[in-house]
Amino acid sequence: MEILGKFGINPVLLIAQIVNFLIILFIFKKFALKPIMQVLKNREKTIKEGLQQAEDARKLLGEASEKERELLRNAQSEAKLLLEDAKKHRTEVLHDVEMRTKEQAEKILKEAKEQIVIETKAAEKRLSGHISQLAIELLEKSSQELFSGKEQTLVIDRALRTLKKKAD
Amino acid sequence: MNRQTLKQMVLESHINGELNVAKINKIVDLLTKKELRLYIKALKNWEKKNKITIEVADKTGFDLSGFEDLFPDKKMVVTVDPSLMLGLRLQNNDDIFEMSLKNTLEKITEHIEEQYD
Repeated sequence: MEILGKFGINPVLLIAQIVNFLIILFIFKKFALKPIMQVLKNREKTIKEGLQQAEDARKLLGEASEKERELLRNAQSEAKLLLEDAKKHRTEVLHDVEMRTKEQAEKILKEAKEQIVIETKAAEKRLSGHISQLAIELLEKSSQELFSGKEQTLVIDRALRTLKKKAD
Repeated sequence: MNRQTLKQMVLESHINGELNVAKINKIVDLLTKKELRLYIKALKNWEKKNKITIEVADKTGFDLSGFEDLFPDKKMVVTVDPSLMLGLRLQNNDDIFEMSLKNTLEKITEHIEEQYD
């Protein structure tokens, strides 16, 4: 006791302090530790959930990105195919149009040539008829000077002979 | 009016192969409208059957005797058609015989036109 006294420690006061400490420890454990632990547990759970959600979100984002890349690859592939198909189709259409235009042009040319031949023939026919008519008219006008009574008699005698032959 | 009567009337309408106006007028006065139509038709037919029309380009020097020998019972009517140029056109009833320069030229023209068809 004396030794404690030499070190400045009052045993009564020490015991009182120990009792006080135990009382406060009991009260703390009874009323404050449980809610604090509950709050900490809740907080830990929320953080864990947040982390899990973040992880899920990251995974989802990764999957979405992968899907997006896949879709993009597919779209690019399809677009490429479509483009190639369109190019092929365009070439075919161009070739077809070119062929049809060529055929049409040849047909028009052929028809035009035929029409020219027909029209030329018709013009020649008209011209020939016109010239013949003019020649006949010219002969009509000058027949009296061209043919004498002798020629008239010769033709009429010939006509008479023909008629007699027919009658026989 | 039967066919025999009609023929008799037509024959009575002629003197020496020529139509006689006085006789025709007398006959016409005795006929009805219908009979008159038949009579005119019969006269036309008689003319057609008994007449030969000859068209010549030029009547100068034309000798009809050869044709009269060929068609002794028919009346000859000669007309001039200068468009024939040379030769003649003869009509006997419905038959037409033509030997003329115009006809020859027309045939040539037709032949030329046929070449283009």
